[in-house]
Amino acid sequence: MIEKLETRVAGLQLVHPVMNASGILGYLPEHADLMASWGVSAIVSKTFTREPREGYNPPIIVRLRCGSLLNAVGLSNPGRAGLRPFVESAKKHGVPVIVSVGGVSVNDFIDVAITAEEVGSSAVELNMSCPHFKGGGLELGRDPVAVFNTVREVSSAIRIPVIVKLGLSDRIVDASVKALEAGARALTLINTVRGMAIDVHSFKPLLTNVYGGLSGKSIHPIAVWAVYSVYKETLADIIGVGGVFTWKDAAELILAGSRAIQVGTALVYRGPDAVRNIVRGLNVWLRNIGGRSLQDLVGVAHER
Amino acid sequence: MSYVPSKVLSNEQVYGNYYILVVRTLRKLRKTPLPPQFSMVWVPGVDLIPLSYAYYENGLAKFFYKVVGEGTKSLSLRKPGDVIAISEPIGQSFIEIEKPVFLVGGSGIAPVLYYTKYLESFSGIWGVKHGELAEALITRFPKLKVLAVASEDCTFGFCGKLTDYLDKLNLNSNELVLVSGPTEMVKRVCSWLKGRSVRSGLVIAETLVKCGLGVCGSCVIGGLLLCRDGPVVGCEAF
Repeated sequence: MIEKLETRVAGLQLVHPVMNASGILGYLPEHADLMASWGVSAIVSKTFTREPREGYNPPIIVRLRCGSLLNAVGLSNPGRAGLRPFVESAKKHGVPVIVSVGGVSVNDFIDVAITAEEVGSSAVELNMSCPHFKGGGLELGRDPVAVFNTVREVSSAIRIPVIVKLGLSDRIVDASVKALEAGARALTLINTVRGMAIDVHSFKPLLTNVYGGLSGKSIHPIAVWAVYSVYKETLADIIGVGGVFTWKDAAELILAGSRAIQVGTALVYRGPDAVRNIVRGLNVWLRNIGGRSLQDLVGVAHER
Repeated sequence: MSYVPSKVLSNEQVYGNYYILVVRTLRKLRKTPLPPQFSMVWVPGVDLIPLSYAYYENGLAKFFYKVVGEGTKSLSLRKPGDVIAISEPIGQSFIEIEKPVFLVGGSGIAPVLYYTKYLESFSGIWGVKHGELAEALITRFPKLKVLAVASEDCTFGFCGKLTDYLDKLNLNSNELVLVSGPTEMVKRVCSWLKGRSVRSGLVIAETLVKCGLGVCGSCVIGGLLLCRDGPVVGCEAF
């Protein structure tokens, strides 16, 4: 029955729809082995930038109420020189390897994407939505013209599929349309949502960076809305991400229009079995609704 | 991490750059820390510092730490009554052991302090630069007396480095050896252990812990995440 869970997104064939979200480990060779042990159908790297980045001082990630995390890690990563060791280690596990690419200028994105292709990545995911990366994150992804230019340049520089990760903004549908026009093969929706928390005992913001990105259960309905809205307008390949803890959360995103799912915060709250439990639950769901395949259920919530 | 607000009761300079912080948590920890678990200690607005428990009982926690940078410097300036915060205990406990042999370098003594509360019997050597540190800590944690001390300034115990005295240890093959200290010292001790037939050589490791949640990946060691699977790892990780 497991073959009913097979899916295809951005031209990548996946044995089931659940991969990890970028940002959970994902930049050192040792990380790749741990990530593969979660049972993901594709390994998604942390965002790599052209040059190494230290990231912010801790606290960089804090647990909040209601199964949520707030983070401002600051895109710490070893730079593109770290891509080969990571990708080669990840490829040993026999699943597609998607490299998340970040930058400020178009050339930053191109350089990292070219390196990612050279070292054997299956696809790149352009991170145009980090809520705490000044100049290169959400500011870029909310501007449909900037999205179009960046995606067009990257798409013409590499042959592997280009996926574009966008975040919550009032232009999310426009930006999605522009990314697809420029050559994106799929969209990852959504990134974390800008947020903040203050300690009432010391009166200080919890994160050293003051604000950061909210992930986990609190953003799940936002992700469902974003996927639904973009799918309605574009029928594009979408990787849905945001507060997926259980198979039901994943199923909602599939019905809204996602062909694949990413899981991040649940790996903290539910542990390393989170992905397997979601996959198992999806399998039972498909059986209970008459043995339909997952591909048939993508975007079904739009039917009237 | 979610933090538990905690009031500083005392923050005493033990010797040189070494301090003992005593706090009272303002609500109960969900889990009682056990050796050699640690918590992330938040100095609001400044830094988040991983510190091993030296003691814990009913919301009263003690941490032994060395001032090494801005964060620990700022922590050392917190006064009684100040509010900081600590995370729930991190890592795996490791107390189902009998008569371990501790091979300790300098501030690596921190988790051993808490072990003195849980272990009936243990032995080993503690190497320090300055004998006064050993004297000061043994006064506060009398059970440490069973450890031999090697001081580089020759003012307490043996004269010299811990590694100079390893060959004097009579280790038998049933012995569990727990190494704790700076990375260079751990490497030397582990490579010395390689030639010995001990039951196992384990390390209470220290790495760069930034998030304490298994997300940021900075604490990876020997294919494990120290904050989730550690801090006890095999000597082969070094």
